[in-house]
Amino acid sequence: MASETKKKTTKRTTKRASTAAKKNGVHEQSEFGVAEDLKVSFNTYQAGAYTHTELGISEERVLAMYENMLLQRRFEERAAQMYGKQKIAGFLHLYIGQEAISTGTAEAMRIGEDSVITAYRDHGIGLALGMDTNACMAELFGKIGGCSRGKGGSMHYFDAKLKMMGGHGIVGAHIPVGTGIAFANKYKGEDTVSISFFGDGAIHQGAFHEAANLASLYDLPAIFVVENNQYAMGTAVERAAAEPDLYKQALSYDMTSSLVNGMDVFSVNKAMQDHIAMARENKPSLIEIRTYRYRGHSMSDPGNYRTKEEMDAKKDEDPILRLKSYILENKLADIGALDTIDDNVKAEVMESVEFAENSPFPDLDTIYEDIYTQKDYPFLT
Amino acid sequence: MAIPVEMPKMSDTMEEGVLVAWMAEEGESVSAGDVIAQVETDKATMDLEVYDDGVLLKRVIGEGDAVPIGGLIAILGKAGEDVSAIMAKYVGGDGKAVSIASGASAPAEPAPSPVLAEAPAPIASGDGASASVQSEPVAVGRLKASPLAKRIAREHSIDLQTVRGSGPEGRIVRRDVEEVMAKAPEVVVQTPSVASPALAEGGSYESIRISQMRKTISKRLSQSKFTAPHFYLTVDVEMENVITFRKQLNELAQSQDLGKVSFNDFITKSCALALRQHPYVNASYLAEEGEIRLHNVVNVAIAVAVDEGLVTPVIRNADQKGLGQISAETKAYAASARDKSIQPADMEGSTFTTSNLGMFGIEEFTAIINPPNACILAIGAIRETPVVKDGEIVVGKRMKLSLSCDHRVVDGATGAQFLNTVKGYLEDPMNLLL
Amino acid sequence: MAELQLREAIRAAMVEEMQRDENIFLMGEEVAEYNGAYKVSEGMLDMFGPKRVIDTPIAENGFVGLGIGAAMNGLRPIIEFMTFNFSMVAMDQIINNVAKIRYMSGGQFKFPIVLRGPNGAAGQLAATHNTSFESIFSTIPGLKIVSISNPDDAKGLLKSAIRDDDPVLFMESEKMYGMKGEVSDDPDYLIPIGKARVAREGKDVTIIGHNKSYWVAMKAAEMLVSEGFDPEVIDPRTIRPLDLETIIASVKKTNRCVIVDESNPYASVASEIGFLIQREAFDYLDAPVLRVNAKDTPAPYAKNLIEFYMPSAEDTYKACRQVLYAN
Repeated sequence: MASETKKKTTKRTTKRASTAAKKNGVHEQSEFGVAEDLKVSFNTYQAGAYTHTELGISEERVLAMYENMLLQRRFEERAAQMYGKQKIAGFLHLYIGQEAISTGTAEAMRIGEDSVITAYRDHGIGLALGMDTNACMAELFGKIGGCSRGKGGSMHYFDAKLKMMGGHGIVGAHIPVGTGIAFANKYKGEDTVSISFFGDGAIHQGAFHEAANLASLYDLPAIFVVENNQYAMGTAVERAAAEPDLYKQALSYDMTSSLVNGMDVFSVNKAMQDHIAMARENKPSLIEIRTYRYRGHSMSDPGNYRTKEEMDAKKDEDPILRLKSYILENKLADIGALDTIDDNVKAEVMESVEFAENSPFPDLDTIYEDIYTQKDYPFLT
Repeated sequence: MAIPVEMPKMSDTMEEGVLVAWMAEEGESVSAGDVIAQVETDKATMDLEVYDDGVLLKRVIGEGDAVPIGGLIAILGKAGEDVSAIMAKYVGGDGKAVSIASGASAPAEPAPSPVLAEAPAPIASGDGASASVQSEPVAVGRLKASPLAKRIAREHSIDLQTVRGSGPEGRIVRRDVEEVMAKAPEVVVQTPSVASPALAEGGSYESIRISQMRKTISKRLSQSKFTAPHFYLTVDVEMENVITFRKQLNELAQSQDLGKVSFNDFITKSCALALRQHPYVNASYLAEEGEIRLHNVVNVAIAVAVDEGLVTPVIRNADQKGLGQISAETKAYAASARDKSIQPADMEGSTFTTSNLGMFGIEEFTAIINPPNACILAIGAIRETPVVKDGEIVVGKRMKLSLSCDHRVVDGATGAQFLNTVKGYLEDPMNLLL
Repeated sequence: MAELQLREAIRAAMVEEMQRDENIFLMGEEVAEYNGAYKVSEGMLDMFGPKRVIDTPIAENGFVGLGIGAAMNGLRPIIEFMTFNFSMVAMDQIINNVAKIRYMSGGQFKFPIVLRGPNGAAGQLAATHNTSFESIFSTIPGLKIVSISNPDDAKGLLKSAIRDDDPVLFMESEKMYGMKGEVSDDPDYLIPIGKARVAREGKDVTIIGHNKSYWVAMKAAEMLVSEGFDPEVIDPRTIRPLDLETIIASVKKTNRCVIVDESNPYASVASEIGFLIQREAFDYLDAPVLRVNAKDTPAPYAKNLIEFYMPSAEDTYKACRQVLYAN
């Protein structure tokens, strides 16, 4: 059995040599046996480069994707209002502007088998995976009907059935967990994958680098997705990253990486399709998706670190407007049908607010529940 | 600078005082030596004098309020002066019933030892006066005992004040309490919380505030009864000779315009002389000091009934005093006890006590030892009873004396010998004059 | 029964459980090809292969997080820390993730993971390699903390820990790995987590000690016995949840307690036990509860200093005499 491990070592050496050759084209080696002229090879997925037919997405699914993106948008707009009305407290990080990423990803996944783990800006991916809108809103309200029984709040959406593995509050801490989910996928002999989303701030955490190294070392079905929305809280990427091309981080871990325009849902979907296919063959990878968050980091952030001009320019790229135009241009639906979708979405969100309002607060007894599986754990009082 | 007036210690056993009446109004000018209030201690009602000149700025407590020694009663100073700093110093916000622990500015009195309640301090809720009155008795000084020792003592009704602590800094630990228990016979153990019968609900009753005197009686006699293992000896004394002798003596006294001598005075004198001969009866068991103290003086206390209970004035050096003097002192004490002018000092330092219920026709009874005495003599009535004399049944005059003895000091034989000596003096009273 | 070294007892527990359940794997630094830094996992790579006995890079944050994700996704990882000193690098994973995700998800996930390794001082290793972490981790709800003192407990408790659906931090000791003792060979030998062991019954004073401190407690007990005292010795074995019932019953009997605990004193295991005793057995105490901890300093290197730093049998014996008022 020990020989198997040795074989692995041999394999890795081979892999390194071959990828170096592949990536560099020119094969210059120094006395140390490594390539000196390291050029990073990566794939790009630009906006407007893909049609739904090329991606194998039906017209019906395009409209469903539109509806889903709109649901995320309207849900968060309403959540922001409820925050103002003090129905929601604590942190509320809005995903508005980044909906193409969640919807594009979900469309490429086998939902319920492949898993997703993300950071605290988690409403979008939760709704994209199909989490119950009512439960999502009730969670923000801190009610027992919430997806985490009122114990997690905005940052901690979970849905075990959908393999939505959270909603995590500590920047970068969930990335090794996502890697472990991938480890289990492979260990159990499944061809399922684990997608870990994180932001351009989190990539500087050691946790990302340890996780990326482990994923590559163990050939795990893991996809690391950095949603580069340009600002880590209030710090622009250039001010935080020695190398602002974040996709280049894959080089150190011998992983494929891609750079994706996150304002086009089809570009995201295409990238995800490709990377999921790689992951199903136990090839971990990194995707940098460039996107833009229209709101502040959290509700308390006035966003003074960016200009109005920048904001306006980015709003022209709004992924929902882009998809709307695409639908109309390609006559997948008329404006009336799209308006109906919007009305339906608004109604669904209003219903979720009503549900959240009517859901009771958790009983005080529930404070001792969901900590241990042990039923009679003797908590200190 | 305003001056706090604190509750002074007015007797050796006083722990708190109740302000009975204010004698000065707020805003009134007072001089050192003026009485501003009357305070009821465990023993007597006393005048509260001030030691400084000034204006009575504030009467901090009301009539009927109890204050531990060192607690703030009033504030003196110049007219209009701010008293808040002093109020604040006496912690409890409203300044009521709170003693200052330390660091107070020079007190008007020599600083009394701080008083800390062993039980949780009473929380003044609503009506401060009643809350104070219901407060637990407090210990003088900080009594250190382990929680276990406290629990055992509580369960066996042992007063920790009587237990000598062998732990660090005198902490009373289990073995100390057990030592006391081993020496004491198992007394009736009552766990109050369990054994107390429930009070009838809804019945009508009159509520009487427990006076300082009752509290003291309760505490001291409980302590005595539950820690000193009592045993009782009774003797029947022929009184014919005393009766005759007293008659002659009183006739003599009358002719000289002196007061009459009572039977009780004879008994006091008899006891005093007997105590000289039986030092273990004239003794105290002092657990804390780890010694039995044999007193060189013979001070006989006499229980005197007063309205609220009883007091025990002391006839000092009774063995050296004549019957006339004993008689005069006893009468004077009885009078001052009844008009409450008796001073605490008059009741301190006894080595033996007598209690007489003969005047109520009680033939015989047993009394509870008055700590730290080793014995108490209970005196019954002189009664006519058939006796056999020279082979004939005649009417005799007899009186029963019952001696309660603390077995820690006095054994049966010691007590019996003492009692026989007393009996001897009374049956042959001429010896009293020798 | 077989006589095993502590390391062998731990290995036996892991091997038996891994044979029983395919979903259990062992991961850590040097656990596979090197056969274990302290030879705890010796031979396990040959037995189970590289899929289930996995060497890691030196990246505790990463591989502990990986274990947590694997547990969240249906596996039952055993993660070995070469020593618990290195678990500090993975504190975020342990405190923020494994202890809390179940709660924050409203109970949707469980974390049947064991994080194990030697804990506490192991000689002249200086400050970063000599810390005892029970108290730090035991403040965190969501974790269970086991800290063992002998081979038999090691086996019975590790098997329970592996089968437990909650995260268990399992603390051993480099100093005790070679210690031999009789160990049950029952494949279902399970000692329940949360039950203390009364190692010696007595009536005069309760001495509480876990892990290496248990042996300090036993030595002090011997010294007391030679003087005619009758001490009771309790090994809590589990720090969270704590078997308070056994401890309180003992203190109510002996009325005195000394806690030996290798933690630094502030907010230590001893602090908490002491607090609980005063609350639950106040009226039974004949003396203050005393504790014998490591000094309130980082662990020093110099031989005499580290010896002085550690809780000793002599100090424990003295503390016992103090509460016995025998000084």
